[in-house]
Amino acid sequence: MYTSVKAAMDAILAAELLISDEIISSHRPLDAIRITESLSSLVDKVMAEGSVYDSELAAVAILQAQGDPIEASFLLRAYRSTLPRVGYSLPMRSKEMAVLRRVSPAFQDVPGGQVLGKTRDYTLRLLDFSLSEAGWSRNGAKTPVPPITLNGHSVEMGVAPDRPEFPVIIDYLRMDGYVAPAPDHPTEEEPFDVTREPLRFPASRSARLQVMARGEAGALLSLGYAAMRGYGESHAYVAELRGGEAPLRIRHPITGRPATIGHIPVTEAHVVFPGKASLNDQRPDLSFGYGLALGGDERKAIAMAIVDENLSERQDAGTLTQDDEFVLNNIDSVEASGFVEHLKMPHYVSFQADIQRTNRIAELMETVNSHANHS
Amino acid sequence: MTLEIPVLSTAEHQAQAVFRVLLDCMARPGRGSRLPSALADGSDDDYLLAVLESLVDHETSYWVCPGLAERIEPTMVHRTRARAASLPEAEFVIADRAGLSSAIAGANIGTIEYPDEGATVIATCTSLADGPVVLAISGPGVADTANLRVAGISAHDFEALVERNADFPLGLDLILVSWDGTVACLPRSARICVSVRRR
Amino acid sequence: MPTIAELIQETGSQFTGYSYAFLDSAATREIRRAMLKAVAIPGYQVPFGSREVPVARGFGTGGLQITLSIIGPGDVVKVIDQGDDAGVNANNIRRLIERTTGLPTTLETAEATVVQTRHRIPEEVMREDQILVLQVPYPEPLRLVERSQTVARTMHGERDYARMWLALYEDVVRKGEVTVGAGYPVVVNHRYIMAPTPVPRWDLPKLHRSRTLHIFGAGREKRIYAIPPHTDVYPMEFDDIKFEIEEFGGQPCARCGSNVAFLTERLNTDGSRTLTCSDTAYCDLALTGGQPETWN
Repeated sequence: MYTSVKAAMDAILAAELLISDEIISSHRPLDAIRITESLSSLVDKVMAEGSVYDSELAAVAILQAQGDPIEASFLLRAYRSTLPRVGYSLPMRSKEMAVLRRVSPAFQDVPGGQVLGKTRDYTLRLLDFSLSEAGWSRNGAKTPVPPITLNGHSVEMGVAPDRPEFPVIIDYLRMDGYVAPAPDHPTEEEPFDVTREPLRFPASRSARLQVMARGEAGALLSLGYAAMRGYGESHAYVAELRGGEAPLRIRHPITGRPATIGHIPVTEAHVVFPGKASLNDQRPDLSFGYGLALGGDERKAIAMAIVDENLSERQDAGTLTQDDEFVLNNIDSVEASGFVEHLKMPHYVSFQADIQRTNRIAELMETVNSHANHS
Repeated sequence: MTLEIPVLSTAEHQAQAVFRVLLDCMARPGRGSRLPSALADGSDDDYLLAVLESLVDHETSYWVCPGLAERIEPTMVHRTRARAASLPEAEFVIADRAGLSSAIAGANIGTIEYPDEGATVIATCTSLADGPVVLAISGPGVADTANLRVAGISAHDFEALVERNADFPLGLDLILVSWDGTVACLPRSARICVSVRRR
Repeated sequence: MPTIAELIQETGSQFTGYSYAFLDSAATREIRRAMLKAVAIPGYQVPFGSREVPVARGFGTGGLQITLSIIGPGDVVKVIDQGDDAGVNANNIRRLIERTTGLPTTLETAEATVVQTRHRIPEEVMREDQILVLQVPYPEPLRLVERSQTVARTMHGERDYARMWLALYEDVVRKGEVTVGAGYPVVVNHRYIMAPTPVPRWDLPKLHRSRTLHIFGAGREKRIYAIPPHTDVYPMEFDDIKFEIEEFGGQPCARCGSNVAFLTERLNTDGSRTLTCSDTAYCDLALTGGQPETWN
């Protein structure tokens, strides 16, 4: 064997060692617990795009991938595909969410109140040098955060306040006829399962929402941004953005009754776009888009809602953000990164075959040219 | 990174072995192959059930003809957890001699965009080695012509199958399972000439 | 109704670690069902719920899912990339198969029961008891003329291939011949136009009435298709412009001396080129005096 199988395997093993060596021998290795505690946004992203809700496994994947979120999501997805599907959860309602943060930018005040909660939106983007190595050794462990109160209730960090359900703002807009009423029955009896069936186009709403929820946040951000910049619908209004813990229910296998088996952290965005009604088309003037992200990624939830609206309103219109085949086939990080990176693999056989054609065409051209010169 | 080699359970091994026989038969229409004899457990339906368990699960739907229902349903409900469906909607259609003609007449043949939605019909018979119905088969998977002799299924049913499969790629794919554990397949791509041998 | 614990137990897998051949039994069964339909409708792309596997999309996940769903005790697996057993990706896939099944692997074509390949069909003629699994990057041959997979699916259904023929014809008019090198489209069973994966033209005649079952898996694009044995497979060609395979100007392999194998160039430091067999197992066999049955 002129390229030995063993040599190639040795090279692969050496490449693996180079990575594991860096992970293990780094100065102060992070462990999974510290990653979940300190890098929660990254853990959320990896869980969402890896489609597994397990922060410890996500932390392991992040560590193993040396912080590469796409690689970490991929590790988690590959693990996910080995898990048996033992059941399907029941539909969840926004209202049931134990809310940690909830704002309605479209209104000054809303039923339940504006709950700012944890957000970076209004912080000054200044580096906090106390987090640097030097700052850390000077100040030692973090100073405890003073107690927080919310509408008179004291709130423990990261724990849903024990208070009644927050009404959903879009319901008011629907009641008043600004937005089309929600259908009486779901349009699909069972949601399409994108992990079990390849997409068909036009994709059903459930399929579309699943693909976007698993989709790469940056890809969705670009598309949502492009849609706002003239490659799609105009400016959106966020009717409501809420984050918190949503109850996960399944039908009890014996009693058949719904049973709550846990809670998942989610962020939900409801966006509306005005200007749809006209004298010829007396429909509700506002169209609606929905976004949901596992964890706390509000940017992704809003971008997803914008794209959802674009796909709902103009299935066959001209711009790419309104083309479901384009959007849904190109936002999955595992698929996109794999295929782009596969170009690093050897391609010399197909290249040889193509080069042969190149040479053949050159020969033919030469023949044509020499004929032309002679005549 | 070390990984212990995962264990292959008996049920999964059995399903894999049955599938390989089915794949070979589907790729070579009209050729009879024996299922592993270890599947036989003293009941007439052991081989049929083994075929079903290798292909059908809770993500698939089935229809079974009335004559077989009593014997097959317990397995479908408790072991495969497949969903019972009406004949035109079922992905897997299971029939014996008595139920086959209505099965062939009513099963889904798919659409031109998605011809794979055409049903898989699994039929029981008494022999695939010797029988009065002679099928001369050609087309993909067959070098020249393959001959299959079938007992326990009427020639009319094969003629009906040929008719339903006339508009390729629409059609039904038939898996024949004999009581002795021989299987043979007639995919919709097979060109079949049906005759009856006189004794 | 079963309890969840029962359901988990019945799947034969546990929440820790991995299943035999990596995929869980429901995934395996779905892929098996898709394969049977693919075989029953030669050249038609069966959609399937492609799973993530531990190698990246684009690196052979479709082929791998097929191989993992086929193999079991008694199988011997060979994996090649560009014809070469030593390719890094071939090694990686071989390693995954070994680790998740414990099955033996081989470098010899004749010894294998299942061969998984990327971009080549072995030079040695395969037998009827073997299966060739091909990794597919683009399953849709009509993508050349139609971007939308929905429209392409209808075109296949209606056998509406006029635009495809027109594209090849325009190529001929503009360039003098069809410029497609690797991955030249073929017609299977006189019905479906099919992407043979980017194998060189050299390999296309091997598909025609082969003794071996060929199964094609596209993981990222979520399709499985197949060519059963003894099936007519023709390259798309015009009556007056015949399909031609690659030629090497009569040069033999610089290593084994064979002139019946597809050769690839190695660039030497002085800029000169050396041509050697891309199928390394065949080259080794020819070098040691073996005379396997070949196609050419």
